[in-house]
Amino acid sequence: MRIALDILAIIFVVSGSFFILVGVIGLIRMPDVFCRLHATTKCDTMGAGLIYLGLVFWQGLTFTSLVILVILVFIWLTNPTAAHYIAKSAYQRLKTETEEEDGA
Amino acid sequence: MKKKYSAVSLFGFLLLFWLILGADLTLVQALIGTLASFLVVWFNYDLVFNHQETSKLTFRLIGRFFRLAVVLVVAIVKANFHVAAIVLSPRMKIQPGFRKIRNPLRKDLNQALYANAITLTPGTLTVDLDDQEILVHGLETNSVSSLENSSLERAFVLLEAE
Repeated sequence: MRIALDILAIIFVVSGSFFILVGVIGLIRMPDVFCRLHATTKCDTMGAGLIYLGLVFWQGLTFTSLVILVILVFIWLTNPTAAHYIAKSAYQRLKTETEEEDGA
Repeated sequence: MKKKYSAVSLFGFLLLFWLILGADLTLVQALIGTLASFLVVWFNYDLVFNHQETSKLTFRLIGRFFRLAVVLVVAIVKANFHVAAIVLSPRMKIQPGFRKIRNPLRKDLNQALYANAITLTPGTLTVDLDDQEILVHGLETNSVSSLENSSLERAFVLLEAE
């Protein structure tokens, strides 16, 4: 049983790391700010989620794993919020730049 | 009146949060937590959600929330494989662009959650929103319109239904 849980934990942590790696590659390969945000927000959410779930399996059902789940909820709330803020400011900058070009 | 109701639920929420983080349940811990949660709610009373900003917290709402969570997790998993397929393909086939979709929600808290959920669904990223419309950036611009009438939107509209 212990071994099965450990194997499950390892699978989750490894696949979580894979998605974070995908996020990093996407950050480098994508052409502009918005596309880069696509890669980082999604992969961070799922990558962190899988790693924390793996930790929960490794830990078993204790109070600590409950705290880990709370952390997970916070990451899932803050991550897209931060992405939205970056996207909004980038969009406003894009808008002012195009307006200046039109005016000149 | 309505505001008092949501102040009480905020108090309960903070206390629960304190007890989870505190790890061991002792009387002293519980008392300090009660005092701290009460002070936080009292000092920040003007920041507490009023009934125009959030749906009333009922058992039915919690049930709908769980349903929403399931839809959202499925969307997140799909989104990740979608992005991974694009990022790892040698020639990235994307046509990025902006598109406006309607905003079906009235309450502020639900709008914020919906905007965040859109960011986590495949190929879409919320850029800006107001009461009528949401500006969405899409990796494939045409796929953005499919957000309207999607299961995600329906699950959110249910949050506000009576």
